[in-house]
Amino acid sequence: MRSFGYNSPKGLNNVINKWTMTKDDMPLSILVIEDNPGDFVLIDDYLLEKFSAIKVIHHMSFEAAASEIESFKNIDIILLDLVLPDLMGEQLVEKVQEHSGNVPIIILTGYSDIELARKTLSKGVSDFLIKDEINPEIIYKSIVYAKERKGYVNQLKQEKKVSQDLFDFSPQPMWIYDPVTLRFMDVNQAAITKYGYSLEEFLELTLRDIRPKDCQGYLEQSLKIDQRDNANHYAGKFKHQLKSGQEIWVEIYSSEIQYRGRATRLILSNDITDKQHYIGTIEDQNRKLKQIAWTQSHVVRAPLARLLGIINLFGLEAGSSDDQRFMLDQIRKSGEELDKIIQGIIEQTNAMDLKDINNG
Amino acid sequence: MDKKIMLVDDDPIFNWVSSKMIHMVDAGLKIDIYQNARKALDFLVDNFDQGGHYIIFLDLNMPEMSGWEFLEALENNDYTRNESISVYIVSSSTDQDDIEKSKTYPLVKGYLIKPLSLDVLQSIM
Repeated sequence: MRSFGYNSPKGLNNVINKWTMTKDDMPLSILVIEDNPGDFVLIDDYLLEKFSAIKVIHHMSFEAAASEIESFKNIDIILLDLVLPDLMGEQLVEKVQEHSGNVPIIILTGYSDIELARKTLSKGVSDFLIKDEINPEIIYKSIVYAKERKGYVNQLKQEKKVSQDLFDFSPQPMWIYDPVTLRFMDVNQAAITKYGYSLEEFLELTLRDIRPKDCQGYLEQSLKIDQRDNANHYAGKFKHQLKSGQEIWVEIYSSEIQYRGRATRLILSNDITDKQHYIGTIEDQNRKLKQIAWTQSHVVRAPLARLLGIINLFGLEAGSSDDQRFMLDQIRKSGEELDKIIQGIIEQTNAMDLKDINNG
Repeated sequence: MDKKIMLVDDDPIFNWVSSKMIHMVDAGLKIDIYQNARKALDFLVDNFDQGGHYIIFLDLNMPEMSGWEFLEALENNDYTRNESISVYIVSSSTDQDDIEKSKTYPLVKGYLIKPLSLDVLQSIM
């Protein structure tokens, strides 16, 4: 609808630029929605001047462009005239966005519509260019900037999603709580599964609600330490209570995190109930083993030592026949063999260094 | 110097075998047998003779009063904590902890693992 102010010095510059500047070989598909053929010819000219690997698609109306966006997915940038025969202004921008998703849009406008164009920036439009001021450099800069910015925004979104996924899909229960009210601000799926509360229920609870009644004092104490140290750290072993009333032992890791613009704490809870149980069982077995070692050493060996003593004495007594001596010798050998076996068991049980295990 | 042998062990058979063997080394020795460590202790406290030489063969694992308790009592008594008493632990325990522990008592002159042999007895007498 509007034409470019076309003057010869600018045109001359363009000619010089064509010969002096190297073109950008970034592959690019650009959709130009512009109903003024004269304006399009100029834009097309500028684009070809700056980009060597460019594909320019041109449509004169929103209607025609909409079907093009639908069928051709790989559009990098849309250059959009703010006033088209079938649609204009904010409504036009919204409609194009419905079809284009997150393809960056650069608005083309005249001086009289600057205010309108400015408003569209808040709708997510990348930039607006005033037709009378467009030259190859301006359009080049605007396109490159829009494309880079989109990449950067996507990367940020991706990183945010990764952090969120680390929280949501962590196999270990995690939550964020408000250090002032002790309320849960967010919990992950593993916490919901482990503790038995739904997300909605969790958000109504405070840390006190997952501690057994007799551990409340301990909670206050550990929270004080948490707030004083304020760093990322291993908070310790705690007893927690599930919705079912069952009590579990957990190891808690705590760290400060900014969440919804506030200093909150991120908690990782590791259920060690089974581990504690196993350790208890091992310690119990360890005690029994020590008992067995002691029994071997003091009790089992006692009657054997007595037996060997009697055999010794018997051998010292004179007057036995050769056969009797042979038999006595065999009894002694058997007894000594048994003694070696018992000594072996004692050595093995002692070699386990049971004291160290107990202290660890 | 009058040498007295005391066997302190709750096992009567062991005491019998030991006294037989001691008499093989020296038939003239007087041997007193105690199946109860407390009785042995009472005897020592009541009849201790500074001029005598007491060789005590002491078992560790005994009911009522263990060999360790017997040793504690002897060493805590100024009267019996005396050069003229030599204690030999005679135990079926080969536990290194027991052997090390016995070394902390000045009265203990040796740790003998059951059964006793004639050679060991000869070297002591």
